[in-house]
Formats: sequence, C-alpha cells, structure tokens
Amino acid sequence: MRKLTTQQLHQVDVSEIVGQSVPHESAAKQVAGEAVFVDDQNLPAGCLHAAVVTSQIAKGCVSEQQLDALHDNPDVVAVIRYDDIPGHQDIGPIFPGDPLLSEQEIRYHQQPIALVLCHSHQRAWQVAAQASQDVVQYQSQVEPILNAAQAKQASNPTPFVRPAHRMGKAVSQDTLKQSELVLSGEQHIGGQEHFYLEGQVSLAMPSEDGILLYTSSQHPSEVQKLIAEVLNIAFHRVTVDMRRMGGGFGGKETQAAQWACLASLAAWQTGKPVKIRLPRSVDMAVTGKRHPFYNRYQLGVSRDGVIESAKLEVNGLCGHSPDLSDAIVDRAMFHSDNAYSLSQAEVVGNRLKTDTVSHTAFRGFGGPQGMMLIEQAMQDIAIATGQDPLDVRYKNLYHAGNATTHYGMPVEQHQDMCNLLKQLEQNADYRKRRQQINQWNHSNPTIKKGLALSPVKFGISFTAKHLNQAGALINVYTDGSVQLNHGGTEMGQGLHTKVQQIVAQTLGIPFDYVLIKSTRTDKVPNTSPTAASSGSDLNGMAAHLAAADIKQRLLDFAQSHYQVSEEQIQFENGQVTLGENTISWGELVQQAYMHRVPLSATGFYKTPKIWYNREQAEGRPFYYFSLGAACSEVSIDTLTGEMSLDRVDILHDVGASLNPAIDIGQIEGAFIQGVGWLTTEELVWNEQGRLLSQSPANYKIPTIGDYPKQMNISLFDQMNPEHSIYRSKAVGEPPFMLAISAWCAIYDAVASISQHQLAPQLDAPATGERILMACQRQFDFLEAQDA
Amino acid sequence: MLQLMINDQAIALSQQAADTMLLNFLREQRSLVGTKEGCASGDCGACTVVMVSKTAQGKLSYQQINSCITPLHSLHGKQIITVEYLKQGQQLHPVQQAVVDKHGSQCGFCTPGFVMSLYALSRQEQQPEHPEDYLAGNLCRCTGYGPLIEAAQQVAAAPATNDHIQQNEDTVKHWMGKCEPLNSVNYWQPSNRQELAEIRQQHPDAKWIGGGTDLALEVTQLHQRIPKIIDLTALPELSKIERLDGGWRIGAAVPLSDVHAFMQQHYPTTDEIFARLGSITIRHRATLGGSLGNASPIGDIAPLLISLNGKIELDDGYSTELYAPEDYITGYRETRLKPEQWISAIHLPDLDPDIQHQIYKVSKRYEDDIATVVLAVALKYDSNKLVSHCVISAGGVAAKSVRLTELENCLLGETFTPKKLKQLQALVPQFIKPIDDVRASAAYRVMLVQNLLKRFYLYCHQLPTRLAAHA
Repeated sequence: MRKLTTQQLHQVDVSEIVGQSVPHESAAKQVAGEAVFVDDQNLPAGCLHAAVVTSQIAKGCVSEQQLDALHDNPDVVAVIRYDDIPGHQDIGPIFPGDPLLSEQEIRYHQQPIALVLCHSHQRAWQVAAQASQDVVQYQSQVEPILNAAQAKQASNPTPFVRPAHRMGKAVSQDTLKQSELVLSGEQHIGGQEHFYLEGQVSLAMPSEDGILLYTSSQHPSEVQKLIAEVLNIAFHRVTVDMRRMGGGFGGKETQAAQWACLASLAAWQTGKPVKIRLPRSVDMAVTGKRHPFYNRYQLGVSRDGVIESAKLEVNGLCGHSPDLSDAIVDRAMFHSDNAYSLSQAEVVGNRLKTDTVSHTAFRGFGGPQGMMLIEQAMQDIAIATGQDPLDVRYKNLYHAGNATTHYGMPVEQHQDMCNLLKQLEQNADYRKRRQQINQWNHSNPTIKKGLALSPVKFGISFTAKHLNQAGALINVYTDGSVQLNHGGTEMGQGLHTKVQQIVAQTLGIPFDYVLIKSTRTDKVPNTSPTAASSGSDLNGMAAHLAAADIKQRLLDFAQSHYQVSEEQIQFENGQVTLGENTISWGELVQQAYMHRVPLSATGFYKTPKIWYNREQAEGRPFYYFSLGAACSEVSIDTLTGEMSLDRVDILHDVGASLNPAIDIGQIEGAFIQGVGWLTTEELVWNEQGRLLSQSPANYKIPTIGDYPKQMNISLFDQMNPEHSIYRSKAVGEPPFMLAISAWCAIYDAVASISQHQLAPQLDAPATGERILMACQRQFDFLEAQDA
Repeated sequence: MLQLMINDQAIALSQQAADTMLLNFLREQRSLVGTKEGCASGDCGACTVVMVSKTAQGKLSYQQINSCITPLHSLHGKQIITVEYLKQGQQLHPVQQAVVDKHGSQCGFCTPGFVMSLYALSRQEQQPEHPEDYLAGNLCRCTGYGPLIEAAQQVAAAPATNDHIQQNEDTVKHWMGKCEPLNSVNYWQPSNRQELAEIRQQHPDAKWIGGGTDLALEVTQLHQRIPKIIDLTALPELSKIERLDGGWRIGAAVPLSDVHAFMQQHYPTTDEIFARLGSITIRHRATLGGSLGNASPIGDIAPLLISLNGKIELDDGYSTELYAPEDYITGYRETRLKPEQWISAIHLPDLDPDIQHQIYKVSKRYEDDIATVVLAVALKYDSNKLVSHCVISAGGVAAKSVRLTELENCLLGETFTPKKLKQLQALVPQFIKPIDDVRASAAYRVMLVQNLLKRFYLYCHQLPTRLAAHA
C-alpha cells in the first residue's frame, strides 16, 4: 500500500511548468532501452579495452617486474605502469594520498598496480585477474588496521589521515555532573556500498587537441583537471563529456576519476581509443564507500530528559587516504545535533586512518552518521527517564531562545520543524498506535513491535564555500528551439528535468522546446561536483539567470521593434503577446536574429549569506536547512532477529516543490536506501583486509520485497524562506536520514522485551544477527532480574 | 547450427564459443545495448530479457531470464525478446508506458530489466496475487520500488493482450517447429542417454550444465574459460515430473519455477523455501540437478530433500543409482558423482499426512539471498503421543548439508515437551560447528538452530511465530 500526497496547497497555475509532475526527461528513452550510457556507445574503430591488475594483499610491497612477462602474451597490446605516467602520479582530490597506480607500496587490498590493454573487455580482465594472482609478487608487512580500536592504539604511529577538529568549548566532567543525570553511550555504524547499477566506466579518445573523455562522473571538471595533470598537459586540451550516470549517490564524485585518468593515460600512450569498465566485484572492492563510524556521547540531562550539556565524539574510518574525509567528518559533526539544542556542547571529530580503500562521499556525506549518535541518545534518554522517545524529542527541539547550533548558526525555521513533527504525529496516529503496540507486545512473547518518529534537519550548501557556484549556457536557435548546458550532472535524480522546467518557465515556452545536452567541460567550465544536494539550487538558478538574460534582450528588442511597452509584453506557452497582437516565440526569435540580437547567454550563480570560520568553528555554513520527519513501525522475530517494516509515514520539506513526482521519488528512494544502510547492507572485511562482501550475492541492498507494507509520503506545505530557485529546497540527501526512524523503531521493539528498562546496544546495520543478539541481552537482563 | 530467434529475427550461428553468454552476444554482436550488465552474476536483473519456449501443450510461455549468465547455446530453438522489441514506431508498449506514468525510472540503468520482467508478467495467463513478486529479481537503487510496485499492479490489472509480439506467435511457433537439434562445436545438447554417455566418454573434460546459473559465474565472475559444455536439458527423462508408486520422480533439469509450482501443490510446506530460492528470474533457469551437482554447503535443496526422505538418482547412460542426499554429499562441494555420471532425477516419497513438516530459512535479506541457516524438521507421533519418526537436517552449519541424527535420537520415542526442547537446544552446540563468514558468525548460527527448533516446537503447538511476508 503506497499513498502519496502530492497536492501542493499553494496551487500552481496550470500554465506554469515549474511545480508540475513532469516525467523524467529521459523516461521514454529509458523504458525503451534507448538512453545511452557510456558502455552503450558504438565502439570507435581500434578501441582497446583496459583492465587493472590489483593487489592481493592489503599492506606491504609488490614487485611488478614479472609483469614484463605479459608482453609475451599475444593478446596483450600494452601494459601500463607507474613509470609510464608523464605528469602527476597522485590524484588525491584535495589532499595528496591517492596514487593512480601503486609504485611499490600497497595501502589496501586490490589497489591497482598496473593496466593491461587487450582487444576485448573479457580478455583484458582474464589476463589481469590471472596476473594479479600468479604474476605479481607480494611482500606482506604487518596486519592491516581495520577498526577504530586498532587505529586508536597508542602504538599506531599514523592514527589519522587529517588532524582532529573540535566544535564548541571543551565540556568537563564537572559540567556534565551538574545535571541530574549523566548518560553515556556508544555505537558502531557500518559503511555502505553505493551499488550504483551502472559500474565505473570511461572511454578515452585521443584527438589532435588532446583527450576527449566520456565518463560516468558527478564531477567532470575535476576529472578534466586530473587527466590534464596526469598527462602533464594544459586543462584546455582535455574535454570531458558526461550525458548520464546509471546512479551515483556520491560514489562517482571522486571515485570516477581514477578510471578516467587510466583510460586517458592508456589512450595517450597508445594513440588508440581506450575503454575501461569495472566488473561489479572489482568495482565493489576498489572504490571507496560510505565511512564506517564509531561514535560516543556523554550527556548531562535533566530528570525530565532535557539535554543540558553534551560531549560528543565522532570517529570516521577513512581508509588509507584523506579523499573527502575532512569535509565528511565535519558534516558528521555539523549534524550531531540533528534538530536538537545541545545547550553547552563540545563535538570532536577524528579522521581515523585504516588500511582499506579510501572512503568517500555517499548521500548525506557524514551527516547520517553524525545524526545517528544523537538519535540513539534520544532513545537512551527516553529509557533512562521513562518517557516516550517522541516526548524527549519535543523537549529537546530547537526553540525560541535556544535556537543556535553548536557552531553558532541560528536555526531560523525551528518553529516549522516543531510544526512538521506535530503534523506527522497526527497523520501517523502516533499516540494511538503506541498504545496498540504496547498491548501487542504485552500479549506476544515472540514477535515484538516497535515504533519511532524522528526528525531530520539537514544543512544545505557545500561546506567548502568556493564550491557554491554554478554556470549555465543557453543557446536559442532561429526556429525557437533552445539548447541548454549547465554544470550539473544527471544521475537519475531528475536535475535535468527540473532545470528544463525552470528554463521553459522563465522563457515562457513549452517544456519540449528546451533540450538539455550532456554536461561538458567545454560548454560550462570550472564546475562544482553535483553533490551536497545542491544540483537544482545552484544550476537551476544559473540556468534561470541565463534565460532571464536572453528574455531581457528579447524584451528590449520587442519594445523597440514592435513599439510596445514592457508591461504589454507577455511570454507564455510559446506565444508572445505584444499589446493587441500575438506572435509565436519562434517568430520573435527570428526577428531578433535578423536584427542582430545575440541569442546565446551564460548564467552564473553563487550562494549568498554563507560563511564559516573553521578555526573558530563558527559561522553560517549553510544557506538553509531542509527539514523532514518519518514515523516507522517494525516487527521483529525474537527467535531469529528477522525484521519487517510494517508502516512508514513521511512528511518532508522540499519548500515549494519544483516537481512533486521527482521530489517524492527522491524521498522514497533515499528512505529505502537508508533502510538498507541500517539493516541488511553489511560490509565485511576479513582480518587480512580483504573485502568479503564484494558481490550482490553477499552484499544485500533492499529488494522490492523489503518495501514497507504501508507507505505514506506527504510534502510539507511551506515555501523556502530563503530566495532559492522558485523557493524550492534541496532534496537529494536529506530524506536519506528519515530511515533513522526505522533503526529507532527496531531499537524500540528490542527494548520492549525488558519493558523499556534496558537500553539496547544495537550497532548498525541492525542485521538479523545484531537484532537477535540485542534481544538476547534483554532476555538475559530479565533472567538476572528474576534471579 | 545454433538457431535462435532474437525478437523477430531468426538467426543461425556456427562460430560461437561454448561459454559465450547471451548478454555479451546481444550487446557486442547484435548492438542490442538496451539490455545492461549490472553485476554479471544474476543478482541485479539489469540484463533481464524474456525467453519464449514452447510448452508441452504447444503454447508459448514467456519467462524473464538473466541474460548475463545464460549461455547462448542453451537457448537453441527459443525466442528471446529484448527491450528494443517492445516499442512500435513512436508508441511505447503499455508496460513501458506504465513505468513512465508511475515515475518508475530515475537513472534508467535498471529500467530495461524491470520493463522486461513487467512484460513477462503481462504475458502470464493467470495474474499472480502479488504482481510485484514478478520484479523480485530486479534491483533498483534509485526509486525505492514504490512506483515500480504500482506499475506492476497496473500491468497486472490490464495485461497486454494481442500486442505485436502475440500477433507474431504463429510465425515463432512455425520457426520453432522447423529447428533442427543443436549441432555445434564444443556444446552438446543430446536428447537420449546413450548419446549423452558417448559424448561424455569422448569429452571427459566437458562441464555439465542445467540452467547454468551457477556454472556461468566461473566465466563472468572468475574470468575463466569453459571450453566444452554438455547441456542436460534436452533429455526427456530429465525434463519431466512423473508419478511413481508411492511418490514422485522430478527430472533433474526441470526449471525450479516448474518445480516450485509442483511442490506448492504436493508439498505445500516447501513453498516458502522455493519462493526464496534465488529470484524468480533465476528460478526460470536454475535446476535441482545444478543445485545438487555443486553440493553447496548452504544450498537449501539438500536439507529439504533430507527432511522429506528424498533420493538422488544418478545415471551413466547404462544404469541408475539412488542415494540419500546425506550419503551423496561427502564433503565441501564433494559428492559421490563419478565422472561418467550425471544427476538425472530426484525421488520424493509421498508425504505421510501425519508427519509435521517444516523448513525454515534465515538469511540477511528475505528475498534472493543465500541462507545463513536452513533447518528442516519432519516429525510424527505414534498413538501414545511419542515421537515415532524424526528427521532433522540443516544447511549453513557445516562444510555440507547435514542430518542431525543425534538430535533426532534425543526425540525418538519421547514426548516433545518444553523440557525436551531445552534438552534438544542444549545438544546443538555439541553437534554443529559452524564457521564465521560474510553472512554471519558461528555463534549466531548456533543460536538460530536452537531457536528454530523452538519455532518448530511452537508450530507443533499451534503458536504462530512468523512475520508475515505480505500484508
């Protein structure tokens, strides 16, 4: 049962395109198999296929001299190694630390050592797989460091990939003890494999200028930069073309670059087009994932459950290099308050170095891991004070007089947050169901039910200020058709559809007059990654400004040419009203062309208001907050730990929706992806640092059968108070964290065994095994009580 | 010649390697790139196409399969429908339109696979109670499935009738009727035992194949080659289910989807285990013979057969032998199968109506997951309420599927009381020594076996303990 409430109360005019549930711009092509992904392109003549030879140890050295023997294999066209790189050998996106190919030192299992080129994809991977096993010689050194405890051992000389960071003043034990209760807790949170359905892929074409590269990347400009640096050529000689990704989720923000650089390097060396496509199990083993975290809290809490002081520590397990971990752990720290006032708070974030792939961006970018800490604390406080967790949450929400975060940013929409929770509490019939569940649990010894309603407050903007900029290019042709390029990339989230709607709306033309072309570094330069949920906020505004520029030129032209005043001119649905007369959009464009009006424009946007002083850990890093809440009900089987998600109610804030169907698609998809993260998706490394869960046979993302038995999704009826594009709000990441309500509901079901006397220790993901073990501790507790 | 019909084109091929998979053939040799590779292991469904075969009744059946792990030769004489064939001119097929209307595509990479599963759904004569079950073999990482469930419901409510594909059925049937037996180098599909035995003798290095859903992984995951393959699916005695005196003989090459339908009717307690064995897409190709031939320690089939007193029939073309599964499987992926033998059938005795039979599977994910633990129990009381028959079998707790005779002995001749249950549970750690692996810890597995015994006890006393799969 799925129920959606898409009705926007501030009803848009039917002639408006923005706000309509226009289908995804590629939907008709996608269902027909006509949407072209990189691997679907016709192979250029003479194309070679590349595969990587990868390390079979996690830490140590390799000797790859033996790879020379591969030249004797008639199927091998070329072997490319570290020494063949003409320019930068390190492709770390912000800080160094990510070798394109290993020189000698091995930092993680399946680190790429060399590139093999053959005439077919299958042959290249057969040769590479065999060479990884039998040809390369390995020298293992020490046992790899794989968890927080190992990394934090005093004997470890390099515990961090980046220095620790602190927000807020230090909170002493004395301060904590001033409260009636001092609570503490900890949690291990697993990482997450992106499992984009389209694996990493790049096709590099040598050209007289340099390299033309087709890729599946959220960050074409960075790919361009890194290729140029690796080849030691100027940036302008590299063009990156990106039409669509088969899913990204953060996994193609930095992680696409290595394969793009390798394909380009091979194309540069051989003079032939080169394609590289990672087989699924290689993709899962060699690319970074969502950071696993180990978190702790100590809270000073009043008798009725209000937080008075807080000492929080979040530890991201970063893998072997910094990648984006500095910003990711910062975002975990920024979100360790979620929607609650921590009063006097100290938040410390550590970036632990582990001997695995370098963990990376994934929808929420550390935010979910930070939020998990405070949401567990809410559940723990409820048990310690004998209250319903929802009441504890209400008591701790930011409110008038107490609405500043631990990094000094005012939470201007605190009242909306509270209203949203109350509305969802009603919609979901929370109190009545709480009673029913209590009754059920009272009379059912085996199947236990749990219920939880939790909020989400997520900060919107890149915390690296310079990334909050975007560009767009609009070309109007003399038949009136419009071509649009912007710096954002399409990974399924509907960005192109929204931007197309925005431009059509701004120009007053039908949706299909506008064609969005692939994202290209030669059309819009120096772009930011499509990340941080910022795609439509930034690129939508840039495209709107470009369109508004052209519209103004046409207005100016029309006024003088047709002798009408600006107020008499209207652009609507492809028609232009000029006082008494109406002409078509195409005719106006033609007349403008004949009178030498330029019909191409660029637009540029930068987010206002934001600033952050990291040294002081203070500022307004976010333009605004996206809000939401979810109420989840689960059943667990206390014999096996099996779990079912029985009902979910979601109320989410997207401001004035640009496209309700797309926004609900983002909310629903993010929620289920979050449920996967917190329940069945478990990354397992063995003690030697090899990822065991490297295939969909043993890494389990949700299937259609995991969809909640009842699902109700509504949009919160409130425009963005900030001047965002058509007063909408970002939607990509925030709803991911709605899934925390499902984890809290499992916690609640487990705790019901002890009548909510014992706080469960329930690490994430809450697999059947973890749920059963947590149940067992409850049974043991009861037994000890009886004794 | 290898003869196939791809959409509406009949083709004959002579130069294909035995281990060429349908997906690579479609994408690389036919430029049909609408079908995608997501995992090349039959787990994600991005490669889903519809296989059309002629049924015993002379009708055409439409089933979705994973093209990534289906050897091309195994499709000899069949029609394959790919996503490119559905749209007519500019007109989307109703199943495609349903996905567009429900906003069921985001990134679009899994979409062609979903569309093909929906197409297979639309061609079922009887629409299933839960149409979304038809999509259980397709993973989507973007939508969260809500819109796709609605699309499936819409398709099930108004199945495609008389579309251009159906209108072409007579041509397809005619072509199928004209197809010669497969004649290819290094891929054999013999249609009688003697011929098979001779081929085996000449090619002792060839691999047996049923549906290939496991074997193909050697090619697509381990990047190895399989130069020679002997396909068992054309032997009539391996492809039918027959009534024997007091039981049934199920051909080893009958696809699991057909076995599932049969078991639902005759052994209803096994329904869930089949519904959760691989995905629906896998079950259209996978076979009992394949599952048992590989003797996976976590296979669900062996514990099931043990609990039902089933037997495995081995054949060498001259004589057959019957083994109890616990005798047939000798160790980790080791069996009594001799090089010249193949698995020809499974024998199942009729289920005694007085036997209480249950089989439980626990896995990290409910659908399409390898079991953490499978536990099966068959138990019968005599007139004095004492246990007179007891079989307890388990998978996932040792290097092979096992029969837990020590536990059985503890129950035989006794009454099944709470005290007895405790005793039984206490014995478990002595007799199973599972390992930690990617799916679970050894400790969890021991607890599961203990608790599943309790679940069986509660079941015997009519106390429901199961989560409902569908609400």
